[in-house]
Amino acid sequence: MRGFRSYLRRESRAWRVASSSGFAALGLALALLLVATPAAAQTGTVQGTIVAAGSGLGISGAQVSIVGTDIGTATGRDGSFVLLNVPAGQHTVRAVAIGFKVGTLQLAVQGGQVTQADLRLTRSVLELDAVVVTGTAGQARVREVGNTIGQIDLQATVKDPPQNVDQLLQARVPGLQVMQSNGNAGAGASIRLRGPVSTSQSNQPIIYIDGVRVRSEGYRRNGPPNGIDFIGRSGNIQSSPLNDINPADIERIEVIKGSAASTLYGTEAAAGVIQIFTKKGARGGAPQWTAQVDQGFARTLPFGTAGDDFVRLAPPDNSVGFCPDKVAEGLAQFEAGGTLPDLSTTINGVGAPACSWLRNGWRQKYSGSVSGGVGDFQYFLAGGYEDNEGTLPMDQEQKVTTRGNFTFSILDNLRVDWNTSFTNFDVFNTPAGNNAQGLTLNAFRAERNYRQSNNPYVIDSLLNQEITTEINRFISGGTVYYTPVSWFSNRVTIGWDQAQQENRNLRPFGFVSAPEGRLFDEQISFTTLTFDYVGNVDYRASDEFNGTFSFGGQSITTEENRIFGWGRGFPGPGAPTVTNAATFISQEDRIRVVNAGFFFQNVFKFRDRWFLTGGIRVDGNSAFGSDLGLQAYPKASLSYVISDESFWPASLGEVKLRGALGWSGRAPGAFDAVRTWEAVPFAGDPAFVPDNPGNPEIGPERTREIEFGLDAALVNSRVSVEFTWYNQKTTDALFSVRQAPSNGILTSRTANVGAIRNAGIEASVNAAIIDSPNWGFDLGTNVYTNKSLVLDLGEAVPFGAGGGWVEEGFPVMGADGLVIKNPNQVAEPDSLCIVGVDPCNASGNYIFGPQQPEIIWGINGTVRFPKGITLSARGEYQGGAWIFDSAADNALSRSVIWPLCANAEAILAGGGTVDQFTARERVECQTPISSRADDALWFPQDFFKLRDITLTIPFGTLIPRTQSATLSLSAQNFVRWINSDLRMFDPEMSSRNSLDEQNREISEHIPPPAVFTASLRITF
Amino acid sequence: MVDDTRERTRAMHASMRRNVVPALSAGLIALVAACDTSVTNPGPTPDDFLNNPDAFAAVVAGARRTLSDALNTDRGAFTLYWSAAVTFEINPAGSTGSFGIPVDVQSGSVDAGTSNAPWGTANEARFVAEDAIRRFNEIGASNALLAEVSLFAGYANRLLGETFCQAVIPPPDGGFGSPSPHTDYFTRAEAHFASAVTLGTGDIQTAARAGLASVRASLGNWGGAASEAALVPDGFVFQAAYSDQDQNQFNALVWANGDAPYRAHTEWGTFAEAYSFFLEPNDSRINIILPGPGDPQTGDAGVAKFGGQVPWHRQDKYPETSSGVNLSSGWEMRLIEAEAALAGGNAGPAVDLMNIRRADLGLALYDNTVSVDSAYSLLKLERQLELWLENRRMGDLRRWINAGTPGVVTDGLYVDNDGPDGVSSLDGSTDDDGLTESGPVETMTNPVARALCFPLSANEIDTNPNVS
Repeated sequence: MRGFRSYLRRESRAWRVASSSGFAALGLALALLLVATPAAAQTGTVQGTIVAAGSGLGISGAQVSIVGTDIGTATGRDGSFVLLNVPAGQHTVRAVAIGFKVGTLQLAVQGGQVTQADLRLTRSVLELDAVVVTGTAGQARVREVGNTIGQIDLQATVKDPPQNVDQLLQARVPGLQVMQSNGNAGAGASIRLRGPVSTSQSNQPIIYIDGVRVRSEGYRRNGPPNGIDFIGRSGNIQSSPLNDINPADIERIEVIKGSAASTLYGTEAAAGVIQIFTKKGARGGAPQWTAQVDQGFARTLPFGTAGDDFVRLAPPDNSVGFCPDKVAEGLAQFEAGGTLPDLSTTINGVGAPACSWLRNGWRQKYSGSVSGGVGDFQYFLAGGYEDNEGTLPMDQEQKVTTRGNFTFSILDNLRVDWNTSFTNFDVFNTPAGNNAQGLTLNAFRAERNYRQSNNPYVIDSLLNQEITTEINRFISGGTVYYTPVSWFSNRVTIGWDQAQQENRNLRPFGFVSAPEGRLFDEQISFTTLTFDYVGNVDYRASDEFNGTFSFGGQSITTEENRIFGWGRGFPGPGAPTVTNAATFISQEDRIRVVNAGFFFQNVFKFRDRWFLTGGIRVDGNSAFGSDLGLQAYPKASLSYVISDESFWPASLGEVKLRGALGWSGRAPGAFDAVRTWEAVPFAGDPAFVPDNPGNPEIGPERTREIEFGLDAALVNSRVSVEFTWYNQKTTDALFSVRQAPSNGILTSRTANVGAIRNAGIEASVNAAIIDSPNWGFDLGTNVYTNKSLVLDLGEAVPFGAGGGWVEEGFPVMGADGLVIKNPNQVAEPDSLCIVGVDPCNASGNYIFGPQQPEIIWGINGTVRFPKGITLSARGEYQGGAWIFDSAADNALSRSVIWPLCANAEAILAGGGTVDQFTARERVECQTPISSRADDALWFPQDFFKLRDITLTIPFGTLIPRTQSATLSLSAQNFVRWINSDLRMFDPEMSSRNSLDEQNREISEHIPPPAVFTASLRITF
Repeated sequence: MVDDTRERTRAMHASMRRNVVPALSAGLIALVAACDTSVTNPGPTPDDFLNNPDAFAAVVAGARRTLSDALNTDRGAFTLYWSAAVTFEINPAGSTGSFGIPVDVQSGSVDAGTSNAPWGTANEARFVAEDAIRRFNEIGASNALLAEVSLFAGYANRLLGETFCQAVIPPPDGGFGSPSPHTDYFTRAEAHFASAVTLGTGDIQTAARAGLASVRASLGNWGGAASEAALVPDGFVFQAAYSDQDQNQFNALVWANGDAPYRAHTEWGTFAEAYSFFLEPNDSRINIILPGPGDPQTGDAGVAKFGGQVPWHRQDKYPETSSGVNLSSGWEMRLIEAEAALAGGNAGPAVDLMNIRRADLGLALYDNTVSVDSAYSLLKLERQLELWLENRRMGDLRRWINAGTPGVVTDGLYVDNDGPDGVSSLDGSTDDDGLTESGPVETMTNPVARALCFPLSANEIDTNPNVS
């Protein structure tokens, strides 16, 4: 992703942060306000133009600022700018723009006068003077940072209209893996950075938005918990909090991938950090309005077998129409005295609908914003609405987003940013996944489903359910930047992320399998509070040697309060509440976790090309055991801009060498430290049953990462190269130490006993192959590899986790099962796992490999045509991972005539015998089915998907009274290649809680659809 | 020059006093505040809280609940359900996963992996009760509470002894136990029941006597068994409780067949159905419901063993998800007395004892002049009927085989050989394949020997260094 940077902030080197909690935050903010100094009285105006060296064309959107002040603005379309109220005196004007080196100009401003300042910027790919924030103590220039930071600048690099943030992140940053869980409405994606760092805790990276920590774990799946009613009774999807953010509000994203970079985030950052920066207004700028309209549709592509493209959800030709419509028409015809039209057919001899349960889902999105500035006040206001139909009959998403970002430059040395957003997200789901009363499961299993029929009139009765999820998300946070003296700066951030989720799941009175009716309603409140302080002291020892000492503190409090009611037995039809039920129960859970700590860091800077950073973060966490003290995480990094040396030939371009070593952690679960009993009801009385065995010594997992790499811009900055080698080792890994059941404790004890490793490389090359005023061709590629390995189990015995197996010498949570070495031979299956020859685990099972990809390869390209028309494409390959076909397992074990057994069925139907079956068919298709068939359903999940291909056509000012207009035509996920060994389904149709889990498991879902979008964006 | 320097220094100090010191102070306050991470989350109860005598009643209730769970709930295990499938008390009708019968159990065996939940939860039930006894003895509790929790400790050990092939009993001072004969659980149960008899009163004491009689029978102490059994009245019943308030407390055998959506097992093809339809329709101990015209006619999915879906005939011994399961009953005591008589070679008194129950049910009485061997066959049938679907059959079959007890058993698969449509009429007629419909097409030993106990679980093997 290197090559396109966003220069956003003025270079006040000084503001940095620290933290604490609650009222301390307010107190500190007030303290900073009280000590601020008044502004100067004598001011002048600076105006000028920022142009590209060589072409002389004005650069639009360049950030121009007066160094050492809070004065700045963005250039207009012609590169011009005006800075008002600049204090009289000597100043440095600084201009930064995407794709260019920083430009500076010394000038003298006189009170009441206009001073001209024109700058010519030269192209830069590395953008070593761009400012990054994430993982640094406040902020730092790219040249100072010893670790890699992935960046996504939306204006520069994102051509397609992203459907959501998950999709926005896909295939853009090496080391960032985004796996869409399935194609159902509301489904989020799992995000992994540099492999699995934990077997027991979440591997989702933590998320910040404008410095405010927000929820990163998935929302709760809509469905009663196990023990109340069968857990599968819903759409079986998990939504991602990331997708509450409107991509149109995002300016750029920073991604730091491992502990070497995330040390300053401490105990919860081992899985990496993603920080999103939203847009701001330009100081003194006139209001700029934007409006965007997206229209499109989603279409499910075939995911079945030959002749059964949609696994009995739809016939291959789909000539009859949409099943819900046809069923309604048929029933109306029948009630009018006519005959009931036959909507059934057969596919490969198995009952199937003649109509289709899949549709083309209409997607529409409208968003708008206005940004600008008045004096010392800047604003960005935005709103959006989208309404997306899914391809399943009841699937729909409706989302309203609003945002207000404000900047107050109260004084020369005091600035306040305050950002607030609100999102309302409604999801309507079709019963799907591993849901016995779901559409997909029963369609897949045809006549041997839970309704014993695949007749659309029968299956349609399953749609008489309501599965709705409403999420209201409010995020508000502010940052105070205060620089009392030029060498000492402060930054204080406070933030509040509040999400209210309501899951409602109704099987109404008269529902086919629960005629008495059932209702589940769940209300969950997720709260994340941030307090963060950083102080920076700049010092200078000589002209060549200087540095910055930083200190700070941070407190993150997360809280999840949940209450639900579940009832069954309604007196009759109608819209019930839980209270109307003959029997109802409720449940309440409350979990609060506090993580707080402080840090110190020092950056030594030599000749502005050597940068040595050392620091330490010290943390406490409410989930730590009572016997454990504070935890310290050190870090060190070195950055060397070797191309700034005089001996470096200019022809070799810009090169930065870097290396970093750091630790960060992952906290245990909220209750892991304490031995507890669960109070449960029993026959009307309270009862205590064993809960958690407890571990008073429990602490965080500690991940140490070392990385080395380089960033280079070659061939006159037309080729950028980034390479990173990394090696992570997680010690004190929290493993589930199984207890001997004969001792009476069934729950595994979570203990810091293990060690795991992730290692690999990240590399990217981006080249401007053709770069002329009218024509251009940019081509980029990146590759990420990761090998995970269990190094040590400690006192734990090998155990299952995340759907896989944890044992020394094997991939973390590796796919373990029954190998069939001769799958296509007409012979008995050769399934012997030979110790010493095959990768056999302690249970004698075969370890196929990891469940997470070992290689991700991305490719992107953009062709620029005259008139600014571009055609861009972006694809990714993920390989080396294995996935379990749970949908097939569930069906085969119930004697369902499965599409993959069509050949075996034909043999038997023709009078043949099992002796004519292949080895795999003998495991999967014979009767009675092998008791170990469920172990054999692991398959490689290698795939390539063209994530998007987009044609962008700028209209300029063709539309009256507009500054610009751009039409984009985009297709996403419509070209795919999937390893044929998987035989059917798609790796991206996984199970119910897939955001937070490591396992890859195909469930009774549909894959993410291809999405076709036309988008018109207007600026005026 | 000096003045300038002093002036600059003064200005810098003033600036620090005015600006930097307050900011630094605020920062330090923030750092100190950041160190407070103490949190108390409501919900789970710390172990120490259970030492409060006011919590003891809930501790005892926990022992009872974990026992019920271990026997027959979704929170615990499907021990009753699966052991019934192994011994042909039920047949599979579809699901193999959730609320279903695993493929290995369908075939009459139990894998170590399948044994995980039954073994684990039975041990949990034993641990909870015995830990409560330890806690009560350390802190002091009433005899009533000690008697009650001792009773559940006895039943938990009996469940382990009757269900599993081996015992693994942890040493009193901690560490790992080693495999030993399953009868060690009966010995342990005997001590707990005896304690409950001594300390308890009323139903608790009577139940303890019944439990004591049953484990002494399992240990072959027929004199001791009969003497305790004799003190239990005919109509006495002590049950594992279930509730319809929460799926975790449902009687799992009922819920797995509740048609919402599961119809995972059936009485189709069982001896119970053949007996109930053709041999003794008036025996109220066997209750089976055939589906009505509007009901689903078959199980919830195909059964590989039967090549498709099979008729869905429901047991009705437990009509509700809240139906309790007998742990002990007076009628079982009469059969223990009868078996004790047979062990002494006294067929006539044994049959007379069996006939007490049959008379109570209004059934024809057995001939009390039969041989000891024939009387054993009757006893085995009576226990099959009396203890139907109570997780007792597998233990009975094992102890009879181990002891070489005479008499025949009727456990098996009673279906028409033509396929899944017919039920064997047991009338000696010839079916379409020319086979005589007078017996089972599968038995506990033919075509394969079916399990008579559950193995030690995979989890135990993995975690206990003394078990391989």
